[in-house]
Amino acid sequence: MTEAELILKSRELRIAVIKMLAEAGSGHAGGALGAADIFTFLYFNFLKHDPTNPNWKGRDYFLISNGHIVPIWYAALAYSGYFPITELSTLRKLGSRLQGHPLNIVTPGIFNSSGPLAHGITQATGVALGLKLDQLENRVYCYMSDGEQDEGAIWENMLIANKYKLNNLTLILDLNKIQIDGDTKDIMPLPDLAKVYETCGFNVITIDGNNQREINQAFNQTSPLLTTKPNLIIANTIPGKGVSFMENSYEWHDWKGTPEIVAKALAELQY
Amino acid sequence: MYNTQLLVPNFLAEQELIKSASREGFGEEIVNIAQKNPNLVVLNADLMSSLKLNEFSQKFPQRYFQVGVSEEAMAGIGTGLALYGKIPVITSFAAFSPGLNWSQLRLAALSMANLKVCSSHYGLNAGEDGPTAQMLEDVALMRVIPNFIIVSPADNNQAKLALNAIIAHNGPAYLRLTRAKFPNFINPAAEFVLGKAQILREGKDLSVVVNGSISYEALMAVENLSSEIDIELINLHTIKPLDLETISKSLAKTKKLVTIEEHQIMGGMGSAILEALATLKENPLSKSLLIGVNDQFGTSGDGNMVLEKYGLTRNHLTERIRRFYAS
Repeated sequence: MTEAELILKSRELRIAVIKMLAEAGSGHAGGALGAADIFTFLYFNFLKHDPTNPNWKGRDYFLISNGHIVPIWYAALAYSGYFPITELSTLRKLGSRLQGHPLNIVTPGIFNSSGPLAHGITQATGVALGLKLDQLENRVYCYMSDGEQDEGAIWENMLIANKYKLNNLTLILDLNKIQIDGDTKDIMPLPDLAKVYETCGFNVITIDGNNQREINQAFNQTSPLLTTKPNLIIANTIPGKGVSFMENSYEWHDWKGTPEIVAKALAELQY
Repeated sequence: MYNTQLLVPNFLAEQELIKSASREGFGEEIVNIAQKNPNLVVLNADLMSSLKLNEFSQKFPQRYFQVGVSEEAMAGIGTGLALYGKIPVITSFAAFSPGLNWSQLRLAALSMANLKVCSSHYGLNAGEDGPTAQMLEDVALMRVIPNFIIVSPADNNQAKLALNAIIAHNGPAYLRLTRAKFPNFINPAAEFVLGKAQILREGKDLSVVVNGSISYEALMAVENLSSEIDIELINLHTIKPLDLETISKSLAKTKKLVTIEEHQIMGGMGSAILEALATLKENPLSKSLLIGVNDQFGTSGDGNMVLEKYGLTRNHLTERIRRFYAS
């Protein structure tokens, strides 16, 4: 896809997210909207994957560690053809394959279950170790959040990824500066994460995570041919991106939509 | 009457029996299994010698992942390796795995990851290491996670059979191993079936159900009482899934149940049995005694002396069963 096409596609996915959350009546809006550009890029321009054969041996492995942003994952999967787009309206409902947080055993294309933070990144490390052991060239990508960096297992995983020089692993850190209870600077101030990860042996690339050109450049710098280290893409994103009144507000971490608000949000996105 | 097929020939002659810790058998057998099964990988959190993985780490350096003191990450990485298609065995002390990484294990089970959790140092027999290491809550923690099976072998011989069985089983499994040495009294050639309890001695007066490290002490207590009470002794090596059929058949005869375990009474094997019996249309049970650690922590000391202090050695068990039967 061209950059312009990706931008249009990301708008489609954002609209899908708003509609899903409106239908479900709960869920997480801010992170899902902020991550839309990267998910669009990955599923429509970058990942090796086959929606008709999710377990294709040649595929790249994509995991998420902050499971609550799953509406954008479901949207990306549905719009890529893993399951019908109409199924998105079943999110969070009884009997749906689209659970409130991702569950690998029920949803086509969902490789890992996620919810408790800092679990997905360790699972991604496991996949990367398995691929190295088998001398396979598939690559592993894992999306995580900045609030998640408060978890202790982040540190454990950083040391291990460095020890085993997992250059087939790319972590994407969504630096949107909010967490559930407020801004990260108030809830738990974070150190200079680029420096921390660099010191711990990562190849760190910092970008505007809502800019397709920068996203493209970043992911193309993570090839194992270019680095012997595990990669970290620090993606500065705007939570709620695309809906002006949701942007940069931790209050929109969770869904609070009324029919009026939904209409307003969709109007902005369809503009 | 003892089921001699399940027991070594001289099982009552304690002095003649080889004593070993089930973590030793684990360390030996994991090498044998790895030779046959190329998908097996082992992860360890800075306890290689304690889990007897020296040989494995030397023979299979590519398939051995030393992750440092990172039990949470170890469980998550194991889950990832399992989802990828390997058969990962994560190893540590029970106080740390599942003690520290329960959430990762829960997510592994929810994901139906083929993850094997093998942990030593459960129970008071961890002895000198004291109460922080003497894990008495691991069965309670693991019992409540759907999809996990829990295996607590009666001795070192059975630990090897159990390890083979959980590796062959497709799904998450927890295997308990001991720090201390105990007599090897189970016949290594005896059939081992996951989820199928073993009747070590048939009797008609009272059913004693036991698992793991304390099994030989229970056997000795049963033997001490053999002229007074005709006891049916059941080795419930698989705590989950629970072999309710064997237990309820036994109780249909005896009506009386004693459970013995090196674990908290709350949430342990005994309470699992009572929960299961309560679901029966006709509960054969007339009375029961749950023997274990009663809502308290352990203490440092020689393992046998600690067990003695907590009333879990053969003489105590003999007396407690005798009193219960007479009451």
